Amino acid sequence: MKHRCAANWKTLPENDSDGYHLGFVHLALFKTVRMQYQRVVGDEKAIKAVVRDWGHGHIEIDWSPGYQGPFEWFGGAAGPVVADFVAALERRDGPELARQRILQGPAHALIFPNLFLGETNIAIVEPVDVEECVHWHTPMFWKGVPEFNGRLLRMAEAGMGPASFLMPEDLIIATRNQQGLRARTPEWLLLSRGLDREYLDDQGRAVSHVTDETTNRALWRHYRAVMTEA
Amino acid sequence: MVGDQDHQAAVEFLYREARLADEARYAEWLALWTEEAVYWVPASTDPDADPETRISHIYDNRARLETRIKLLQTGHRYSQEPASLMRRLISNIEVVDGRDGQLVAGSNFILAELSIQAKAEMHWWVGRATHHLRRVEGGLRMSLKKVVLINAAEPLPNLSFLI
Repeated sequence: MKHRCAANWKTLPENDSDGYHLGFVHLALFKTVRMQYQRVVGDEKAIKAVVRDWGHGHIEIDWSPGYQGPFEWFGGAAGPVVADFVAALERRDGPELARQRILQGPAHALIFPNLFLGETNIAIVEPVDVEECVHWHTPMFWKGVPEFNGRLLRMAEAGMGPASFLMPEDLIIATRNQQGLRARTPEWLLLSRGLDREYLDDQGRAVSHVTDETTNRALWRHYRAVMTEA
Repeated sequence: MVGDQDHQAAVEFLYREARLADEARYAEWLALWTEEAVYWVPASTDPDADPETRISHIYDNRARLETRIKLLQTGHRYSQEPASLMRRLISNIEVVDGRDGQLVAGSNFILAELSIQAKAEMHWWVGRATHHLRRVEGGLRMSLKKVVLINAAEPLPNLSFLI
């Protein structure tokens, strides 16, 4: 599916991996239904999800520290089909890895510059013009479990696309921001949120609270580096 | 084709439904539906596209349709805040008998949408709609609305209004 946006293409990869905008931009959804992203609009100290800078512009939102049970990323799926799926995963991967997979879920990450792994969706951003781009996306179908296809389709339709409950807000705010950029002054934007609390993990990756701008800084720093050879 | 009375009732329903959607009268539009609802906008122009295996722009059951309306009513659905200014023309209406005593109405539409949420942009939406209409006390209600856009598979701008 293809979703047209009247903003520069770079705004969408940044948006896809930004945890700070959710509580404002998607307030309509959080006021209406319960979903896993809802945890970002509560008390900031109670939010356990993190953002992570993998280097080279690759960035991630990791929701899993906030998950309390299996399949929270999959709408809390349960029942006999799910039980069969878990049993098959355990046979293939062993109980420990299978447990980790069903608890953590697939990645929410940007592969620099424009490939977005959107949990159960995959998306790319296609630049069209200075102020126009297209967000392409597709749900993932998992090998061996066609029974999940319907759920994966309905999740994709809820989250992504021109009539969905998430992306229209992202794209209209991106368009408004694009208009704002025409102001020219001031010549800078402040992206300092979380500088005082981000830290390096044991693999040298910068990690911080999900609402911090660690991912935004990582994206733009790398973009500047590759575009200027600086 | 159906008798004049049924044809006229179906046409009046389509006009009323279009006007309520155009004017963003969300609660009144929702009241046009039966308890069972399928609101479907395929992401393909293939008439055989199966919503269980192919992605749609919209494939709402009653629960998701109510969520869609509630979002619009929060005042925070920024892609429709303020609501687009819209008018649609409906034509080429054909009404036939369907299953379970329902009427099946096919119609073409052209919808002009002035999207005013970021900058004023005119969007044109063109396609064919199918309505399944059930007779209830006091008139007709719709149990299905399927909208096949001629550009369903092309990149579309925001479609968070009622089409």
